[in-house]
Amino acid sequence: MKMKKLLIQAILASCAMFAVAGCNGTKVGGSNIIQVKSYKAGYSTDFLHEAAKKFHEVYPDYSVEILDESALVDGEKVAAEIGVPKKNQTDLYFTADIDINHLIKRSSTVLHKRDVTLLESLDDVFESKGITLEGKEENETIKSRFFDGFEELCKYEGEVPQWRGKMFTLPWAEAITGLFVNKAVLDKYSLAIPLTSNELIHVVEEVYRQGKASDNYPFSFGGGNAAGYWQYLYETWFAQYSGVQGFNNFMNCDPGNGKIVDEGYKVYADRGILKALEPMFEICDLNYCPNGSLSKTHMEAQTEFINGRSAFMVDGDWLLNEMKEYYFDKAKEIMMIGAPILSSIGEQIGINDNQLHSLVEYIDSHKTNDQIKTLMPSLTDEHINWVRDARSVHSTRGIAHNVVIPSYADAKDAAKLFLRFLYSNDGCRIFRNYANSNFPLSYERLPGDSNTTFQQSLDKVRDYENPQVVTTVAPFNGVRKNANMGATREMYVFNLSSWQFPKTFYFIMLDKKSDDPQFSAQTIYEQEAAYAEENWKEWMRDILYL
Amino acid sequence: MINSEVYGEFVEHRVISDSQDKKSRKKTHHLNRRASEIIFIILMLFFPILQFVIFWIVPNFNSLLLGFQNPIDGSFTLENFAQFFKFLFEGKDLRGQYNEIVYAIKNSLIFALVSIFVCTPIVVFFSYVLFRRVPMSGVFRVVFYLPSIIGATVTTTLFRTLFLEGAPAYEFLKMIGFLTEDMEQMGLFASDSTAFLMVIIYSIWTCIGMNMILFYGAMRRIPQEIFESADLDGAGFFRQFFALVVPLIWPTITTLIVFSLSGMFITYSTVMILCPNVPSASMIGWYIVRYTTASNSYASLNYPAAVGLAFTAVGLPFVLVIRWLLNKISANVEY
Repeated sequence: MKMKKLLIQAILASCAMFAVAGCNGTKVGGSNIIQVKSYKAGYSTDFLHEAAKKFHEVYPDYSVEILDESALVDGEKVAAEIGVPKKNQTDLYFTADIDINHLIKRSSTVLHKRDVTLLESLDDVFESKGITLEGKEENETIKSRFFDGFEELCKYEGEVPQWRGKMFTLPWAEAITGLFVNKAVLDKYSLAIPLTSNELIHVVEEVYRQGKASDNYPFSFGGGNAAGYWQYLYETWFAQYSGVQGFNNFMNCDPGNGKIVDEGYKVYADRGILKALEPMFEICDLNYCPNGSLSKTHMEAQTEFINGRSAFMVDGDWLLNEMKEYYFDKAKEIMMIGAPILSSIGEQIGINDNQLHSLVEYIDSHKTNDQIKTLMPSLTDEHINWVRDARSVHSTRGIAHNVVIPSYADAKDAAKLFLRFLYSNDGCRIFRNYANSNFPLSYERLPGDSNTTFQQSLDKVRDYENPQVVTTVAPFNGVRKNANMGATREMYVFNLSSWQFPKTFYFIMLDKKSDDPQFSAQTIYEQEAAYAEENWKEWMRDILYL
Repeated sequence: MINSEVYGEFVEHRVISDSQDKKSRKKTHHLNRRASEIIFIILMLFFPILQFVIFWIVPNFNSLLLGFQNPIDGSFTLENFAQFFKFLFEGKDLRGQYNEIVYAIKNSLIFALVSIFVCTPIVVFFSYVLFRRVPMSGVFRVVFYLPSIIGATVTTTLFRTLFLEGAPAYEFLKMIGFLTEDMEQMGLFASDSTAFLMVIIYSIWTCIGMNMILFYGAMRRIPQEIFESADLDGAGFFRQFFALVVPLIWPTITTLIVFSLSGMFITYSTVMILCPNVPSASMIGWYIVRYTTASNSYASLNYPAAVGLAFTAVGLPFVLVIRWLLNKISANVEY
């Protein structure tokens, strides 16, 4: 009897031990083991495994342990984990769409301190130099190699003034987005890559006309889960016309004078919206996509695009890596092209579309303003610079790919060291070779590095003197986010924010079917501006500005 | 030496005392047992009750509060309901095409009617067929139950794939001339004329599994003698089904119908996976879920909470009345 009791006690005691061990958050291995969780989507995590291996070779005392790698490691989940320090063991996250402002706002409540945040500042990593495969410091700082525009996007500009200007996140992918072309399809119909928006419209019409018989279409589109992809082209065109500053003013609802509350609606009257909408209205047409595109997934759309069913697709630089498992040979021949220059810019500077085409060619071949003026005497520096700037703009979702370190992480110093390794030239090459894409930093390529047609085209898109980026996922445009513009009440209404409403072009495609002569880019633009003006006060009230 | 008189008193006392002890012990034992039972019941009920409180009472109470709260300052307001009724009665969006909430109500009603008048009879009949042990009934039982074991994401993906361009079901529909040019261009899951139809077809396809087990179980409880007697009386396969089985399992059918009715207010996953972008295929559950999950801030939950409350106010008496009516149709038979 005694023996039986003893046995039961022993079993219960061991169960209790296991239970406690399971939830007390005991960390194995101390601060030299960097415990990582990574979002796994288009870029996958092969690069991370390779980087972890190489890092361990450089620093045998440190190791990187990947605890979780899945599409579930998204911003929402990571924010929830970071918000509970007692239970969180992770030292470093590679996530997506995390709400930095929310975490910084919650910091004092969670940590009961005013001078500490839940997220570790990454300013020191940004200012430091990368670490090579040999364990040596590079000559240049990581900051100096970052592409223009990303630094501003990373800096905290949220609601807690004390922390403004700090960097609590860095992007782990350039995530350049825009127009991709299957050149084999264009070659089949003897069509050239378009350099202006009118040329694009012409090429689209030609592919539609000639390709019908052989089941070729101008565009592939995954309306089922990627209805927002069209936006990437639209936002680039908007920025081409209104400039990066104009675009950012729109995103921040700032009409240029800082009077967001009283006059923020005026940004909807920006002519760039109309000029970007005009060609979008022409190309977003159900007739131009294979049957059933409205309910296809992006993977299905990408598959048919890569296999030559369509000539173009608006997508992101993850395309090749996402499809490499089944279609690497075909996918690596896909090219990204710079968004064709808006023909309306040509009209504004007084040249026709053929001349605009030539001007773009001169800019692409790195001719100076003086050389161009010799060839096109009617143009001024201002005209040329407008087109030059427009040609160097592209959209990105890089800032939505976030690296973050919890401030209380045991191995935060080791994690920072790992980041310095990852952002080095060698680290960038690992990303190129294993994720088929780029970090948003310049880096030196070596002869053995992967250099597919696809990758060359990505390099070419930003091969300009002053490449610029625009994004709709800037983390701190709080006015727009807080006002829920386009996200809640009238969900199918176009007239909210064409930027925050991913189904805008999906519905334009649907509405065009009605053949309503009143429905045009002009009417969309006018309605949207009027709707914003009419509802502005309510939106401002929603976010407690009024 | 013990005096015999004293000894006698002692014995008498001992006997009385023993009897009292026995009673007391018995009482104590009874009390202990009762206490153990109570503790056991409390322990067994603790987690279900806790779960009920945390996941049902608290969220529902919270919804109740949210529905009547001003999103801005949390003060009492009926504005959320006013907005709901505005959308309901006047609500045309600026594009003048989709009044999603009207579609959602209409579709949910259709969904419930299909569940009651199509799915339930099919399931009851299938269960009866399997119950009467037709050849390969065991295999069919497994086959029909499979969609219930497999996750909804897998079955919806499978279903979706069957109806994509080039897939067998799609090509069959094309061959028989069912597909119009518009349907072909839009795809079956995006066209206004077919998106909700696909939801209904999917629901019919997947309704059999779990419900079949319930009906099959109910039928197995019917005494075999009743069927033997019916056989002797010459009642055939269908006669037995309508005259015996349906009345005898009516309580189970009533329960399933009530579930179907309440399901019309909460079903959303099928629409979410098959045709999330099609307003004309929306349902009440999906309408509320979409508004809830699309909210960027907690304040935005006020409107979906009000919508939920409004539908509860209409739906609860509706379901109760139907249940009362169904119970009137057939007496509860005990066997």
